[in-house]
Amino acid sequence: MIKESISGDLRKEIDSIDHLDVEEKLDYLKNYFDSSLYDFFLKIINQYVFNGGDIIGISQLLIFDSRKIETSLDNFLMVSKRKFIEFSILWGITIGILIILQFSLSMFYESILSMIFYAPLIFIFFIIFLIFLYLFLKHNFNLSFINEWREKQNEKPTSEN
Amino acid sequence: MKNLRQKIESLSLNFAKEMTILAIINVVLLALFIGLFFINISIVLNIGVLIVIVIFNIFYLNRYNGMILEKEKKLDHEFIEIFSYLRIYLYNQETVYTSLKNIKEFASSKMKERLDQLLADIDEDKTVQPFISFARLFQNKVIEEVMISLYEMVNSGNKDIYLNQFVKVFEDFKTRNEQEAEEKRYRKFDTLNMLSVVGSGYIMIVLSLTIISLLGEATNGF
Repeated sequence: MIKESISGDLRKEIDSIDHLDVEEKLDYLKNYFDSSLYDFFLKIINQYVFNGGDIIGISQLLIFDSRKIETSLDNFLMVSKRKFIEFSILWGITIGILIILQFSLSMFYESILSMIFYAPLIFIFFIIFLIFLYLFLKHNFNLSFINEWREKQNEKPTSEN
Repeated sequence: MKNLRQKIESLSLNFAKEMTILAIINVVLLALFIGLFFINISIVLNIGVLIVIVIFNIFYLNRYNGMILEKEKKLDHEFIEIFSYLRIYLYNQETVYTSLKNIKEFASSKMKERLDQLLADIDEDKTVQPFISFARLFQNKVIEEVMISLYEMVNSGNKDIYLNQFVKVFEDFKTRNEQEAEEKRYRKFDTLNMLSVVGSGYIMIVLSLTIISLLGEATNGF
């Protein structure tokens, strides 16, 4: 039942370790989830295994935190999709003007092309476009905010226990 | 100079390596400047290279301040992250001291260093001072408020009222920070889209120039 609700990649990962017992499986999945939230989840599971108690009660705040991250991720993906459409429309219109120029002024287009400044200026325009496209896509696919401090400091949490 | 060395080393960078890179780039730029001076192409070009050398050195030596600031901000983020775990430990009936010890496992080396110092200070001094000293290591001043409410828990023996007070102060701080970070992310999208208008403006200028030139050619034949 749970397997059905998880992503394809994770399901593949779980299928590949089907022969391991539950604890080993959970430990192995540390490599899949690069988040201290998962490390903490394992801590809570260990606490539950050794001390017992109400697992839902113990992990209530952790569930709350992961839901918050999930919501913030969903919001970001929604906004990034909308902004990408806006970005495409803006640049689409600009590039559209160039295409229209080629067809509507087809009679003069040869003489436009022969102008000494036209080709270099259009080349600069496409360079500007590529720079903005790169910056936009970089920000659009940057999900590091989920694990910001950990990722950028480029150091794994220490484990002394 | 000693100050610069401290800054570089506090960023876990190698001072000698950083200075070597700076020296190599400066030597290349100076060689270019001297070369241009002797070839005597243009005085403007020489002045341009000189300006590039000055700007490069200012930028290169000042970027360490930005890097330190960025590192401090990351530590503020980390504080929020690992103190989220602390509140879970507290909710699960652990003491403040044990919880602080437990969260060290999730901390980066810098944060671990600060937590070790805090625990050592708590062992020696049972007042609020260690908590305040710890909070002052961070940039965000609200952390002091969070640490004081944590101390109140120590002082009162984890009474529910103080636990709830700590959780409230911490949650408010966390939420405010998350909102700010979210707004910053969305503002960057807006800025990038706004800057795209630069492309439209540029193409309009190119078109105007083209049309004016065409008209000039048609009417005056040049």
